[in-house]
Amino acid sequence: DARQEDPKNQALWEQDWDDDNINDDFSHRLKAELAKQQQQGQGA
Amino acid sequence: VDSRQFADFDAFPASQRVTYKFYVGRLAVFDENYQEAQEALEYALAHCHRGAARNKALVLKYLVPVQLLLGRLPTPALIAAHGLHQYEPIIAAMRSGDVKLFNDTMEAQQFRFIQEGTYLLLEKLRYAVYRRLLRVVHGVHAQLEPEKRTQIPLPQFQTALALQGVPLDMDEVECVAANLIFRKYVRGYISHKNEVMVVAKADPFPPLAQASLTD
Repeated sequence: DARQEDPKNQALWEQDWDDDNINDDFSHRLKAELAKQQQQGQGA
Repeated sequence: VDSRQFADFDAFPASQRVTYKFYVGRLAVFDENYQEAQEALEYALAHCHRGAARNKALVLKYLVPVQLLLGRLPTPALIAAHGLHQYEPIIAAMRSGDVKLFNDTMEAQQFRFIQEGTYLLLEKLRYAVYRRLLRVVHGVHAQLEPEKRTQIPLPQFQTALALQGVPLDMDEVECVAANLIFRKYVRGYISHKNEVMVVAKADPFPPLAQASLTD
């Protein structure tokens, strides 16, 4: 009986999370670290 | 049951259809047919009696890891509604590419995941987490050196892992990178001599559902 089934089944899953958007704390730390290494590499 | 001589699937009561699809889904997981598992378990979830909270939780216990493998994350509402909190750190690790968080969670929750029969399934997410981290490295590298955006230096991947607290030597980093390519998580090739991964200009990171998930 379809009426016994649950209608609230839409929007349970998120699909568009995997993008090129990098703006979290870790990316900033990584960018700072890689920039530092680059400078050191050029200075040497 | 799928044969034509058999009675029409929809002629069966919903409870039997749900039970049948649940086991079809679980079998498909064992056979590493994750698309089939997803369809069967989604059917079971959608047609489950709305009051059958325990059965829904049971379906979701397997459906969530399958969905994660295919790149679909449960919404916070779904997690809250069914008490799926054991997956929260795994999901956070996938989102941010946090290999350390993934490793620590798999270790801390090992007993629980083995008991629930999802450990080996979740273990397969490790490459999705590595892929996400590599994608972050790719993005940061592209900002620093836009003209060399398709050439990701593997030492930068190593630096990212070390920053998270996952020290890997260069051979291990290259091994991870090679596996990511081999399993179709990344489109590119490795220049061993130059310690560089050269990735495709267009769409270097195809959707997770296109990765090769069988061993």
